[in-house]
Amino acid sequence: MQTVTLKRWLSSISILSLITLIVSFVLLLYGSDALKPYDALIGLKSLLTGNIESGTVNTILFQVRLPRILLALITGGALAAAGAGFQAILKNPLADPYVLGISSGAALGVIVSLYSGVFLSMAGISSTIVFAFIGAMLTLYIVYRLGTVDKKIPPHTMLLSGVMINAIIFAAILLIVSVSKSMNLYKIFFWLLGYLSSPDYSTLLTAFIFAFIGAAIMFSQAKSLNILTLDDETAATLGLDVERIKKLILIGGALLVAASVSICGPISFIGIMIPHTVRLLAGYDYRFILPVSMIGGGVFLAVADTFARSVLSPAEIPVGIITALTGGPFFLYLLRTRRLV
Amino acid sequence: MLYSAECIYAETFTDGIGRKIELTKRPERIVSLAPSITEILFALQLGHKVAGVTDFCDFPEEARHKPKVGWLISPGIEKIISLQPDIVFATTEGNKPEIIDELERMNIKTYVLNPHNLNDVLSDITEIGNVTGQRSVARELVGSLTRRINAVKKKALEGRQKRVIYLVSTNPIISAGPGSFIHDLIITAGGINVLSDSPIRYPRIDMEEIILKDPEVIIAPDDLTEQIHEWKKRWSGISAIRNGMVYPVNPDIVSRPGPRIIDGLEIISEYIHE
Repeated sequence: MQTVTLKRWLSSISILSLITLIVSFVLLLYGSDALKPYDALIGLKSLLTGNIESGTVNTILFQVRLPRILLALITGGALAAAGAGFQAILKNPLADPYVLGISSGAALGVIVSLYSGVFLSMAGISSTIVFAFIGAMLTLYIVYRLGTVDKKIPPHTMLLSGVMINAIIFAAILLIVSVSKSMNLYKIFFWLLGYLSSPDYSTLLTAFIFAFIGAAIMFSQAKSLNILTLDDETAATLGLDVERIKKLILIGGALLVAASVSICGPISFIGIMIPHTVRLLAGYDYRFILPVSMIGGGVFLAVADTFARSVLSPAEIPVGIITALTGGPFFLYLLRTRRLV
Repeated sequence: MLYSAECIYAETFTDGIGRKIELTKRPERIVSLAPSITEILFALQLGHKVAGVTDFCDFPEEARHKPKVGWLISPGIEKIISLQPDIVFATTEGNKPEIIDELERMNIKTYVLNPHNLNDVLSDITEIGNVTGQRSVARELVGSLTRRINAVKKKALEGRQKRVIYLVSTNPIISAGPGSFIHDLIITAGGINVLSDSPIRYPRIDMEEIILKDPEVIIAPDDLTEQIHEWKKRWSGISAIRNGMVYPVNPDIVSRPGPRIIDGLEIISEYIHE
């Protein structure tokens, strides 16, 4: 394990943030065939020099593309951080919000809120994200309890209960959708595969606040997570309140999952792919893994989303297809190479 | 007279996917496996012979009271058999091919429709008329529908072509491209479907696609138009939004390949040439 000095931490994070900025800027230039990168660049330049005729370019860059890139950064980052946290406390390399059914739980919450017509809005926070949080929390609790055998969580029971809960929740979602005979079938179909759109900035802010609180809770426990990876008893003898740390991570994770699923639907495998790649590259210190996963997850989703909307232009495919196509094989690779028990 | 008519009724028909159907008598019990087919049957004054419809067949009102055979994609095969139909009308637009194979194995005569555009709808009506012995009613219906289509086409030639977009859904944004009936309706009514270059029939698109292609008319299912009017806050750059050219339509009449699709055509034409 490499030692982390504040200086090294700051310099790594700022370099990665700079890379994120550059990638985001490049992605801002890519989109529909009708506004090609070069034209976008020219439009951007004329915007800076105060040319008023570029209203359309302005709208597209800052109302369509920028919110979508920001959403990808928040969502991808949230899922990757949640995955990293779950893997730490469950001591299971395959733990991931999607695999464990937490994303589906949040999705069920969203669909219940859509169909029950509960559109309470408290202090600008829509009920959808609150329902997503409740759904994620409940599923986490159930999977956690079901997966626990003799106060321990063997990897296979955890995974199996997650997979089964996932199947049950999906059946429940499909039941609600088919019984309601709604015209929203398309919407649900796309949403369940995970898709990004261009939210308005207030929606974006809500998701950001949820993700920020979730991430803050997780980061505050990063040091403890390092000790927790040893094993629970050792951690306890070192004076850690293991149960409290686990609870905090679960709540933080649920907040992160709710932030992403309430807008984008359940997007698969980011929570598993990114943290493992980060561990391979940056070692096993959670003070590194958490922020770097967050940045990496965001950039990965933003790039994947740009592919999703350009391969079939003018049509786009759900970004969840791309994350699943890349993440599925990665998951199988982990399953084959890592010892599970 | 009636007796002899029954006797000479022995004919072979070829359906929309090239299958041969042999009929030895005029069908008295008909099962419909799609809302559009039910609408055609009722328009051909065959309502009293309709023995079963799908759960989605809600027009005309009497269709709601017919025995139900289940969903469009997966109708209940046992229910269909129990209705003892002389003929079943199915469609490639919604029924799974397996259903047709299964009905064939049960020796139930099944005529499959395969409509892709307005003309196909007219020839489907003619064909159903032939199969069910309602030739003259069908001829009259097709004649009047054709006259209405021609009136719309004439108006299209006189008016200015406008850029039109049809929205199936707003969140996510899903539109209609070539291969969909809506596309054909927009073109026939003298509009330019801004998604003519879409490689798929019902593409999910990004808002920037709409902004750049700047439709002058937006048509959407009635329950979505209110939401689209709210776009004014963020997307007032789009001509249709700025000028309030956002129009509601009953999605059934622009997507079901039955006689009412001509109503849809006339409504779209009105919106374009207003």
